[in-house]
Amino acid sequence: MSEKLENLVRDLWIAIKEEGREVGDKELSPYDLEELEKAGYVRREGGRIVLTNEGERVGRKLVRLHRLTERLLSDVLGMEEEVYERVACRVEHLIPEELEEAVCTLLGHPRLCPHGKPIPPGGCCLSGKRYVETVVHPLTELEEGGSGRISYIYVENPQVMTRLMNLGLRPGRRVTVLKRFPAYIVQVGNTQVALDYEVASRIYVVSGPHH
Amino acid sequence: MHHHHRSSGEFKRPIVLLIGSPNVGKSTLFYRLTGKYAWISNYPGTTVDISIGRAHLDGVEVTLVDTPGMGSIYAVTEDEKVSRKMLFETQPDLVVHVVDASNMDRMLPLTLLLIQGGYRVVLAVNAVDELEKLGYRANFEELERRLGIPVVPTIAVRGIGIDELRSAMLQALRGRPKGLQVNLGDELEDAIRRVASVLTADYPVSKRLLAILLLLGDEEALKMVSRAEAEPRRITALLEAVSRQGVRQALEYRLARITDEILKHVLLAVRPAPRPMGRLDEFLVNPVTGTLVLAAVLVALYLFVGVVGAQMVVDFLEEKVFEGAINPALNSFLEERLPYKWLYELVGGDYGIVTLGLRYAFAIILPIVSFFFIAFSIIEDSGYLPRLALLIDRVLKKLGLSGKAVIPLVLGLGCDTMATVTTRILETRREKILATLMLALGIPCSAQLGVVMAMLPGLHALLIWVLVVSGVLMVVAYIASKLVPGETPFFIMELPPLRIPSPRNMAMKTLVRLEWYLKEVIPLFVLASVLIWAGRLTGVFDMVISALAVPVELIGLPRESAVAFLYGFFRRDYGAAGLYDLAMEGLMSYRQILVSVVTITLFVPCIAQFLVMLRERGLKTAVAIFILAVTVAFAVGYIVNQIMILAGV
Ligand SMILES: Nc1nc2c(ncn2[C@@H]2O[C@H](COP(=O)(O)OP(=O)(O)OP(=O)(O)O)[C@@H](O)[C@H]2O)c(=O)[nH]1
Ligand SMILES: [Mg+2]
Ligand SMILES: [Zn+2]
Ligand SMILES: [Zn+2]
Repeated sequence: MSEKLENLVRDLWIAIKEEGREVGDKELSPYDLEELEKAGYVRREGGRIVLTNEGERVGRKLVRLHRLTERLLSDVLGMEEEVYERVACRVEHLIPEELEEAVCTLLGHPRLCPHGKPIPPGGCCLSGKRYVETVVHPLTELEEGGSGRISYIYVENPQVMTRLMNLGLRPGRRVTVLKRFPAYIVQVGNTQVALDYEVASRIYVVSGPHH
Repeated sequence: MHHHHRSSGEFKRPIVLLIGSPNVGKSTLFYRLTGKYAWISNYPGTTVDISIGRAHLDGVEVTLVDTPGMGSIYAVTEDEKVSRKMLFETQPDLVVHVVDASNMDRMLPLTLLLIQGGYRVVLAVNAVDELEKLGYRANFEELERRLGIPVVPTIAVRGIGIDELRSAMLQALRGRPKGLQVNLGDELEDAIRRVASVLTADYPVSKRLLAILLLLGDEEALKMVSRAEAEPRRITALLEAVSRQGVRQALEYRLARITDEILKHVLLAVRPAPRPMGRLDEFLVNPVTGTLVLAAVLVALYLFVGVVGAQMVVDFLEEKVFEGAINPALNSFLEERLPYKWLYELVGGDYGIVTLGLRYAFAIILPIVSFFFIAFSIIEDSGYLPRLALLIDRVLKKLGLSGKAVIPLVLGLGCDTMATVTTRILETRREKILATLMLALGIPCSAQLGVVMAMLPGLHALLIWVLVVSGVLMVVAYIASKLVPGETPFFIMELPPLRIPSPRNMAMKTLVRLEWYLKEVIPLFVLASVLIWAGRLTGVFDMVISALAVPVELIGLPRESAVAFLYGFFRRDYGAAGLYDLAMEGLMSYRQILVSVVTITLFVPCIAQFLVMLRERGLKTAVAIFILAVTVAFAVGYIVNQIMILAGV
């Protein structure tokens, strides 16, 4: 599906499902309408455009993705409103389906976008905790014995970064938490490293089963 | 590489550097290759300065340099900077990269980088015994083939693989630099080529490595280039033009990928790995049992050093050997034979070189430090210190230090002077100042500690002393941490495997320490005796004593103890030994003993320590710490005295 088509389905879903408006078939260009019909997302009913089941599903998903992306860009990346609005329209199309729930869980299953519009809940929001295991979170949230793959390390001090790198704590490596108190002891490769809470909380891992 | 600058005789022998991450066994290899003792302990950061020795490689003599541990080319602490400087500025003829067999995955990237640097490189894969214990077998021929440089597996502690290492070194020295030329990715390679092409001067490192360093934004490299190039502007302009963003990540990523690919063909897991943490280890790092272990260690130390060493052995040497035999015999001999009273006073009498100087050195302090050094080497070699660091990181954070500071602080109990040098391993300037202050103020060195243990009347007095001194130390450190600016420290420390201390290393380390003690101490003892003797002849002695007697009497001590404080300026343990003398003669009450011991512990650092402080921290800081120590010592002595009087002791 082209970006343009995706945006159309999304806007239609917002108009029909969220705002409860009626959309006449004259509101779209005949060419676009034909494309949408061919893809099986809409049909015409007496001068009105109606979403098919598939259209409804896809539209909802796209709205959800768009608003999650807005949240991601504004909350996590700290972008300004006019910037993230522009970027969101492009980034949302790039997020693969598998990552949608990860993004949602990462953001803590947000209910509203930064503009205050509702984000349609996904499977992850309903089942809540079950999926937390598979996303990025700080090392300090692992249990003793828990392990994960380092996704990124967020420290300002380059010395800390160098120390961690030298000890093999770098993105892509698997770490296991051996002890959490009085300091963190983690195992990476055959090395055991002691870390204070401050440093450990800056190491983000993707936990979950081995592959 | 360009070697044509070298001409002086000193440097005719080929220079070989031992380089590698902390605690991988560089110093152990250095000792095996040169026969010259180097400090070896089981914690990262044992070696903090270079040491130089001679190694024979089948008749060819080379200058071998042991360096502090360096985990990567990005130096953080001063000890790492020392190694980096050696690597980048001395134009070594050969670099022996020492890696830990169990941790090749994180150490081989540096090997690859060294090869890119155009060095002749030999890889020593050390501690293969531990790799096998972890359940792996390694194919070192394959590793050698893939890296294109000689690879030698070793077990340095047992001397295994040393001959092979010697011949590999010799062969490498005779050949040209070689090894795997890695491809760092088109973009990065292109940038490296462009930067390298505008480097026109002669450099002690290869242009490829220099270009990599420049792209990494390395300041030292930039300085080197700015000095050497005729038109440094060309380089800076080019560096601004090429994209340097993400160079470090790209470099690390490529090197790690290449390493992983190599190791896939080298390492073979033959047995399931053992549990990551043994029972003993669990025990040591658990806050409850760990604290109990710490208490047990301290009690054992007290029994071994304070009771067996300081009381039994010292009593025997003092009373039976010196007071009972040597001193009376010498004094009566001197009195009969020596016509000159001044000469008699120099050698014998109350303050003579033999009757006082050598007696303090041999009868009191030497036995104490011997016992202490033996106990100490067990602590150092077992790997206990990093566990202790982890255990009390939270406490030290409150004092502005990180757990890592445990290492210099505990080493201070051995010798405050050496420990002051070891503060180099701390990351921030603030931590270094605070640790130096604590060492100068209230960490008693082995000799002083032993004398204190010997003279304090009973365990309760010892406890009071410990509580007062550590309390003062904490309060002062806490206040200082609020006054010295700087960021909060971070704590990241490798926990090396627990190891059984090798008796050979323990014995050697103790002997080396004793030798160093005698070399430093005897001349100082003699010097102190001579100075005091001269002072007495000229009357200066009496003047200084009367000056010192003022604060001394203010804190309720007998006037005679001013002499002990005068000794304290020379060495911490002399002061304590002087008090010990007074206490043994029954000239001090219980209260006076306690007050004097607390005061002398907090009193000034010794001359040697002061000089090191001067070198490492600068004049202002050193003098400030010195003045602070004298002030705090007498203030605390005064307060303790008043409290005890009030309490009716
Ligand atoms: N099991 C085993 N232990 C070793 C071997 N070689 C050295 N060690 C131990 O490893 C520890 C560190 O050795 P050092 O020689 O001090 O290491 P270093 O690389 O000089 O360390 P730094 O000076 O701190 O950088 C000591 O406890 C040695 O006894 C080995 O081949 N096998
Ligand atoms: Mg060493
Ligand atoms: Zn929105
Ligand atoms: Zn969700």
